[in-house]
Amino acid sequence: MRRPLQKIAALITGLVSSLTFLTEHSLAEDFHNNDWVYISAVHPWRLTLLEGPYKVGPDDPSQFYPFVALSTYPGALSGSAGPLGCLQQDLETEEEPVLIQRDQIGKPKFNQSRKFIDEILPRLKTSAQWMVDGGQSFRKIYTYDTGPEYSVTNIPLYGPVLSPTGRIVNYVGCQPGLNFMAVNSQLSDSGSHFMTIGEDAQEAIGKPILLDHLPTHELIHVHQNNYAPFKLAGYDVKNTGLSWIMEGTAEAVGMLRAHDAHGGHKAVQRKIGPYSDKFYRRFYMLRNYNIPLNFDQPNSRHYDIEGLALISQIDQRMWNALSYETNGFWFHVIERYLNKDAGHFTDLFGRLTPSGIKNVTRNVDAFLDQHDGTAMRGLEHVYPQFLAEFNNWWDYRSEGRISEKKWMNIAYNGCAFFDLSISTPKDTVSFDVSDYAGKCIDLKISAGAASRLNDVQFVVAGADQTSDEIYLGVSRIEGSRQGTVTCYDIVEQRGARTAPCLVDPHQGFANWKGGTGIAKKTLLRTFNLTDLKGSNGQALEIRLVVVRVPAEHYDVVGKLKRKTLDLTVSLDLAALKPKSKSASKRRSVMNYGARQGEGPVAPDGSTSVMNADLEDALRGHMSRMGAPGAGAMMKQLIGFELIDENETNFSVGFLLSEPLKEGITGPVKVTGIMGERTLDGKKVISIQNPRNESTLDILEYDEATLRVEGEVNVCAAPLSKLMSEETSDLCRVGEELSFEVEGSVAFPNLVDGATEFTLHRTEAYDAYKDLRMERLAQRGLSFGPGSDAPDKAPSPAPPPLSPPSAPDGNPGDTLLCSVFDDRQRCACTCETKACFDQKSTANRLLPREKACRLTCGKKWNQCTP
Amino acid sequence: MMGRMLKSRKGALVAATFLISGPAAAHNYSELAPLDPELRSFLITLLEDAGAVDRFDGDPQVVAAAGANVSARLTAVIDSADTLDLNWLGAADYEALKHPELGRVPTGFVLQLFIDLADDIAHAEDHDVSERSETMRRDLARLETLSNRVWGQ
Repeated sequence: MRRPLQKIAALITGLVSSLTFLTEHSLAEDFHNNDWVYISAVHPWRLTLLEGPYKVGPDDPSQFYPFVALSTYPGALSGSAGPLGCLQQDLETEEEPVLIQRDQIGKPKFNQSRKFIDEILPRLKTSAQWMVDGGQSFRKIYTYDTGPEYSVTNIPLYGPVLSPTGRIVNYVGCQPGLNFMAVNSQLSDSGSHFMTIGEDAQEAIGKPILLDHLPTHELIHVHQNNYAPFKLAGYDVKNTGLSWIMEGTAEAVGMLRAHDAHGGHKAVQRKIGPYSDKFYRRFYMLRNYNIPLNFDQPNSRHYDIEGLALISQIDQRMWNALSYETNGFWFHVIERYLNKDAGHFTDLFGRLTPSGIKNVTRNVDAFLDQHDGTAMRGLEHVYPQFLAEFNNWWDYRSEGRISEKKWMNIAYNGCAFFDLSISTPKDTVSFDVSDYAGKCIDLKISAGAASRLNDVQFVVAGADQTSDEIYLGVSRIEGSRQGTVTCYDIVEQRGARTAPCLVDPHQGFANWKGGTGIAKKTLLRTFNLTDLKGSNGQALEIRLVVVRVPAEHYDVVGKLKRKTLDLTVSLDLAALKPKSKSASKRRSVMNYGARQGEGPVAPDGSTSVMNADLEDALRGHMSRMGAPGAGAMMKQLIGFELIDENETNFSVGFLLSEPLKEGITGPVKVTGIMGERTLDGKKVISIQNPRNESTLDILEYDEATLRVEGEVNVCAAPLSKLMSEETSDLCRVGEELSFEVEGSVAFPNLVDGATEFTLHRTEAYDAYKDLRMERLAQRGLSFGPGSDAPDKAPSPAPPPLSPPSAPDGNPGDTLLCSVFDDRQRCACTCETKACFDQKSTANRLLPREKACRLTCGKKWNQCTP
Repeated sequence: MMGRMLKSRKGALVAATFLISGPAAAHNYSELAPLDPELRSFLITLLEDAGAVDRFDGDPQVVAAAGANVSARLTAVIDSADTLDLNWLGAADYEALKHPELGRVPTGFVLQLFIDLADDIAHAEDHDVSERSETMRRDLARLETLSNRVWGQ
């Protein structure tokens, strides 16, 4: 214990140095234009750092003195040109509060490099300036307006003491035990900021990208600390999951700053080290998304799993990484929804009120609701859309620094794989997914199947009826006639505001996989990917991501809620066999009853077809034409849609003598039929050829697929010819036609309105559907680029996914016509029919345009050819 | 809100305004810290056990192209991990991979630990043998055995 005189002397010495220091540095008004001052001491409240709530009362003066009474850079160690000593008061041995002085504190705890301090101080200044001027709009910190400065008051009989009076100084100090940098997280609404530098920080010397990233990250924490309302009140730190917001946003803005300062994202990726270089790993913005995005550990439990040493170490390393590695998600938010102005995050931080932090995920959702586009709900759409694009980042963002396989392995523990073909058109994979987590899916469709593919159907059956929480995004399609299409390219072209990579859903309860009766019905969410013709001789490969986002948002703190999902993929395939008398290369589309190859989204509502518009059709508000109700017809008619020599669609099919029962295989009794068709310019009628039976063989029939092959044999003749001849034998007056067909129907029993699979609407489902409608209203529902780029200026380079120009030198003239009216409804005029026919001939109809045939069919039939 | 507080002690008027709040926000680059020897040893055990059943044995061409350094060859093994390797890792029965809150430690995270291991080994290889700890020398020897007998074979 020191003598009183010694203490007074020490006090005075400290005060003198403080006064000098304060005169020079305490005049600025806020942190954006305030210089940062280095002092070679630890923060007096260092106990707060990484050790939970304060253990020392905030009014304890012993914690106050050393904070303001230390030497400032560059005079931290007088006369020393070498490293700066970092001084720490030993509170355990000091019985009285004293000022720390270099002469009395003994050996510095550790030394810092002057070079590092020289590098970091100006960067703090410029980064702070960038936050308000560099295209960013971080608001100023209001608490600075009335902040104190420190002055000396002479107390009789005691001597001079310090008291705060008015201004702010930004301090940077030392932190023994810290590796790099940190910000003291307590808020003083009139106090100074204290940023700390750890023992290894000087390793960043010579790494300019890192040197710009580090201080920006810390400045964001300063901003958070001064802006989050919860900081102004005491709160229960247990069961709050803030880290993914606090660290993830700070990290993402740090990335943005590094990109701005070093020539952009690609330039930075080229300059940084490999993924294995731990200094730069976070720049890859890669994270394991098997762990929920918003997973946090309870703040009351820091790295402490007693008795499980190895798990504890793994646990600690995971926690040290996971929240920071949400930087990819937050970067996506900045880039795709905030116009690269991270200052909008202030709105998010402002939502973190004492009550707001009881469910920060809900506040993130609300924040995104305001920024993500007109029809989009927040997190449940932004997050799946992000993961769909994130799956392309290994290619677009890493500049070849990390392999695709490594990226997917780390992000999802590898992808679930489907290998489908003509003989295996369906498969099911089960996997566990937590709330707010994702799983990547790789789907390979053999070349043979791809060439005759109409669409791909997905059914998700989740344990505990969780299918309502499932979203499906497409990341990439390879081998289609459009070449390779990626979500990243689509978002670059269209923007992300309508979540263009999410696949359209439908959902309902159905008996599934042996479940029968109402009690055993399973909530199924189905998805449909259409217009997926493969290129000749090339397999079609599709990468998707399944994401689970609950309708009611909550913070995932503690144990995960993993659920098992069964994902079944099934193909709608159809083809004419080569030996068929009809042209072998004709396109064919599989129908099953009234269902078209557009997926299990069939009308079930009360609006008649003639009165319905596109929205009615897509939302399932429309009644089926002549539907007999519970599906008898659905199970008695199997049709193939073909295209004839005149590029006109027509149908052939099988009328079954009795409904098919699931599980049946082998030949069944059928009558061949052919729909309305024009031959040699005349409409014909047709009947089953009485001398040549049609045949149908059921190869496989279960809840996932109906696989068939058979031959339709009909006789057809123009009605006029029949009338003019003496005989009524169509086969004699007309011609015999034979179509040998094969194919598979996906999920034959899930036809809304026709089987026991009626639409089950929920708020989450309707929101997902709203998104689809928004997308349709703007630019079509297919996974591919739209015809416009409304969200951003078009790229000067040709869009990589643009439709090819027409060969006649009039690029796309005929394809620019529209079958819609101004309100984006199907316009059932003869002009639009001509447009429809032109696009159909060119095989360029969008699915939404195809739907117009349903709406306008009868009116269009009255048009003169 | 805690509000503004004034405190007088021993006649000294020390005014300060403090508010209590939550934990510090740090940018600590904890991942830069080397693996703890116990965790390092466990990861090598995983690789040894995997190698014994022909998992995580590396694509011969990729491993051969990586050169002679153990760290580079380990990186090649990690980079060429396939579905079978991941499935093995996802099912391997080790207490350390059963997290009390997460359930199974994600395979993707274990891969990150393997990458950390390769980085630590690269550091050790870059420094003089005399600077290596006894445990590091032992671990390096185990990995060299794997490198010679399993990886790329």
